[in-house]
Amino acid sequence: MRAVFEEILERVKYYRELGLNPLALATGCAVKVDLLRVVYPAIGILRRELEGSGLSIAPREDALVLRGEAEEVHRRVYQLGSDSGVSPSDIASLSRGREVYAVTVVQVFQRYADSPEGFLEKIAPIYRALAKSGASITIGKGHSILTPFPEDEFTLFDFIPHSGSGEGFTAVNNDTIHIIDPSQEPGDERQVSGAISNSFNDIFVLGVHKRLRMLPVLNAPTEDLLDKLWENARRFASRYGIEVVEAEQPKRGRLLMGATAIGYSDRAPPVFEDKVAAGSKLVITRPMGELAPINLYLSAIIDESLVKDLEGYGIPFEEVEKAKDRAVELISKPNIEAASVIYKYLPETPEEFRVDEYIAVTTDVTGPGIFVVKELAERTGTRIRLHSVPLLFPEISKVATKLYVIPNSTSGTNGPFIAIVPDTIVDDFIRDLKSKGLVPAVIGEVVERGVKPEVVAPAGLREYVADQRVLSEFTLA
Amino acid sequence: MVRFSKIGEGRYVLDVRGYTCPYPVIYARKALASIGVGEVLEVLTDNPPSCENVPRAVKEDGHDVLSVEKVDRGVWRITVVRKR
Repeated sequence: MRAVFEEILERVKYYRELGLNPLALATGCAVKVDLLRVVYPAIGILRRELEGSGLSIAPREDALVLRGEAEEVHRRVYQLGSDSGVSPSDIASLSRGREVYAVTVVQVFQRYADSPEGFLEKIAPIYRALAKSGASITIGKGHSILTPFPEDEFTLFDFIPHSGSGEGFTAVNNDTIHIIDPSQEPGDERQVSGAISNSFNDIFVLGVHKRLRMLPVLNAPTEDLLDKLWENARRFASRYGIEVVEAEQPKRGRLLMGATAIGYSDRAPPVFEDKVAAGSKLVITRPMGELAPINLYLSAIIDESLVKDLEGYGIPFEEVEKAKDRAVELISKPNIEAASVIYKYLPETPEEFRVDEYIAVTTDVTGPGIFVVKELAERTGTRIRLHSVPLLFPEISKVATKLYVIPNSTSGTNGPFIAIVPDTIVDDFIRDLKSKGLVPAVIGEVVERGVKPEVVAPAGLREYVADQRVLSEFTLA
Repeated sequence: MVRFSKIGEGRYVLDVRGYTCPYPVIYARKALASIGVGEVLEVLTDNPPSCENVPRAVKEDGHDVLSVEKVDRGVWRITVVRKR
């Protein structure tokens, strides 16, 4: 075991030689700016201020959904806290009279992410300048992440001019990650594969799995490493039939991996919140909780006394290492097979939706973990009863929670999907998922609709979630 | 770099600015284990989630959290007394 520790600490040294501190690179749980306390209030203020201008900010969605097939994408990278890089005439020329949709990434120094006002100080000048372009702009999806390094700040916009007509729909999402597994080399293929898979997850969950394109977002402190990341991204794209669209890069900061992911579907997206029927089942495509073993493993490397704690709970360190490797493997594999199964159970047009034949709503289990079920209850105005919370590594998750290594061990990255499925097709849906090598399970059901949203969950959830803000969202029974 | 130093009689500071979850919790626990019962540890962090996770974790370990205060823009001081 000593050799493992030395190897990892050696790798930490290597990261430091690259100007990186792998322990300051969040593996998932802390990378996003706090949505409830910072991002939403800031966006609310901005939305009110820009009312009446050509720029609007759409309500929070996991992915931007556009009617028809969108072809053009134009990327612009701006410095935060200033409008000097934004050219209104540039935006007007992209638009040429069409509506312009955008997905954005904001990487903000964490000290400005402690309040809506601090966050606004960074993003508002850019939004105000865009509003002055005269173009009609809809910000469809924003992704805000923290950096411990002030010089790493930037914001990136992928603008999509679109006439808003045509058959089917285009789904667009952006996501980025600093690192998947800091105990491995940043050039390890699984790091980029995981980051890009995670970017596609929010469009795969809509059943989108055709005509896939991506505009990578890649950054590294050395040219060699950057080349390696690009090589890995292209290999990933080739393996899954994804077109790579090269676009401007932030070219500042340390390590960053991800992409703007785009796909097309000729079926309606599963956003039939008002059609969810009581008695429908909640089906998960595989167990959740990828982040717990990764965080526990890294924590034990830093604090060897945790290894003794683990042994006290009957978990050898080697078991955590195996679980960590399995979790990284899962993260680095795109959920494209699950997307193709969801697609099969969607209607060709929204008008054709029938409650007993089609999947009504889907979601993916990522950072908030099991909390996404509460979000489902809120979206659909239903009472949901959860029978079980299937975890990839239940014992490891339990210990990681007990040791406060992770406040919510149901959290994941590139996690599984949960679908609300009518009882009549549950068996077929599960059989199809199994035929793709997945491990689906029925985890609960919709008890009632048209009521105050509520999720009744097993009391045992306390063993996996220490975060009281998350736990308080459930009725534990 | 994590900095841990004595700043007075029975008083220590742990500076974990620049670190994100879960490391502030881990280093706070290590620091508390290395000081005496009744002594005080101040944890400096600029990672907002740590303002909840560190107090929760050290309370779980049986220590007292005296305060969580903002000392600068985006910087918090969590003051803990080792109780056992």
